[in-house]
Amino acid sequence: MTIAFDRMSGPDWQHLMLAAADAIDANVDELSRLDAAVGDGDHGVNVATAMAYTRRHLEELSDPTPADVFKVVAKGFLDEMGGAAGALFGSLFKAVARSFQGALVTTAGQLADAIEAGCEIVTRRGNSQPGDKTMVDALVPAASAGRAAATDEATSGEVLDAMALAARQGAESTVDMTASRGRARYAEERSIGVQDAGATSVALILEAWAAANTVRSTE
Amino acid sequence: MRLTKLVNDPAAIVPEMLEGYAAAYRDIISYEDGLIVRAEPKAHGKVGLVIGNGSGHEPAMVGLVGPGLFDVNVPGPIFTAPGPAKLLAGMTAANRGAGVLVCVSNHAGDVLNAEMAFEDAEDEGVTDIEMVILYDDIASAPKEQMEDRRGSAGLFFVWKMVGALAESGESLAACKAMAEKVRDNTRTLSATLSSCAHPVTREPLAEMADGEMIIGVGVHGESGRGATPVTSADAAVDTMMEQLLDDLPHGAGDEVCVLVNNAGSLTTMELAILYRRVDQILANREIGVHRAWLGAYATTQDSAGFAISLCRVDSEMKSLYDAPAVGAGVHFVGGGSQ
Repeated sequence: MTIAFDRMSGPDWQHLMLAAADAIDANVDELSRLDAAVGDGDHGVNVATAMAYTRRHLEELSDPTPADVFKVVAKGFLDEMGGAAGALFGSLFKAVARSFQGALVTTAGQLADAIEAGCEIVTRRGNSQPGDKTMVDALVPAASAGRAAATDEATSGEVLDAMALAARQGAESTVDMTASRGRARYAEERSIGVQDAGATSVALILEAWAAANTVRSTE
Repeated sequence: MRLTKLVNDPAAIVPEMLEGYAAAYRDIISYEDGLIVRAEPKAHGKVGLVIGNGSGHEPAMVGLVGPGLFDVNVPGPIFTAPGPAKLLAGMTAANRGAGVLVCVSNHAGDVLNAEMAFEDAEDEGVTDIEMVILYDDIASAPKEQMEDRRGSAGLFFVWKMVGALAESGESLAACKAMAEKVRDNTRTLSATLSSCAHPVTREPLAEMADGEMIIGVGVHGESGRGATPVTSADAAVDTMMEQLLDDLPHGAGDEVCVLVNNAGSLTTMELAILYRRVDQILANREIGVHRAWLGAYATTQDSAGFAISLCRVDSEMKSLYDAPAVGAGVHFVGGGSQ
């Protein structure tokens, strides 16, 4: 049993979120390219702007709580990124911060709860369902997989791994979909064959968390 | 399409553009804490008007702040709506003690961020704020789904008329009702011959063949109903006016204000030739033209496109349109001349 070790502190989340910022930075051009097929081609630049704010402010935090970390991330997306994507990613991280509020460490169950809460607000606010070719196509399966993985014996690492895998599969499933929300909906059939940029960002972030956590656990 | 822009650091495009605007028109606007506000605030006791928008559409909306127009513009990143905290700051800056009307052009990002700003305002106990969601582009959704239509060039008429009403000291409820009335009487259809490059990524928003035109494009180059060969200005106007007048039937004796908006790189010569045909069609249908305006109000960089907007007006709307107004991008001296 590695339950005690497995609990994730604020500094652990700080480390994971910085890894997510690196992952976005490494994929800026690819994310913009995906967006260009259906939108104005700046999704990568815009997410990177939010992540630059996140990095700058996370590095200033000493010994934050998990909620402190996600408040910074939410602010980066809401205030620095803007647009529909900024509002939705910001709402996701704001919900995670709220869910973690008061906790010095988070458990596997709390992690699943937080992502479920984030997923709920994103689907409600964006009025989107799986199949609409949005970030929800990665987020909904990730939240479900996280919940299913979060058994009494589960570690946070197992929950992160399950979410990352489901998010990647969900993002890939958007290739064959037709966009029906936001500005992309005007692209109609032009959107078929291109993976959704927002869903791809969700997958990149969750994969970066899982990978960084594996490194952390084995250090 | 020009891929190279004459700018400095791509990340500083928006603030440097706003600094330049505020410096050039310092008698009209000021750039403070990321907001464009009036150089001389509106008198206390009048409704404040706010709009947030993605940048890159200048003179909209930085050029629409001033007497008879907006109190505050909240500019976002290029083609991207500003976030809730900035919008809330804009609402606070526009408050002159008689309530604030937040005008929202119907695009997913603008609406989502405005909704979140209103939730935050409620949490902070801010009262006396209203939101009005505006749309006019007939290509973006069928008539039966009017509320799904996006905002485009025709919102110009809302800003002008509600701006005048707020300036006159009317109530928040009256300003909101007028915004809805103008919206419900306004229809726009856009067309483009070429797209533009995103100023930051320098990648084209869309690729179009030379000699082709797309009718029904959105303000970010969102594609419309497929490309057709360009034959003539008159043919383009005939097609577009038929759809516009079909969407909002006008009767003989009705009066309209007309805008032929330049999306960026059409020439004024072309706008005038386009308007000539608009005017002929309206005359044939015995629809009167109260005022017409040709020019670049809302652009998409240097796209070679235009929009035709019609706003059916009554006597109250006519007098609001004719009231004086001054912004960095428009100048109504009263009596309708600009």
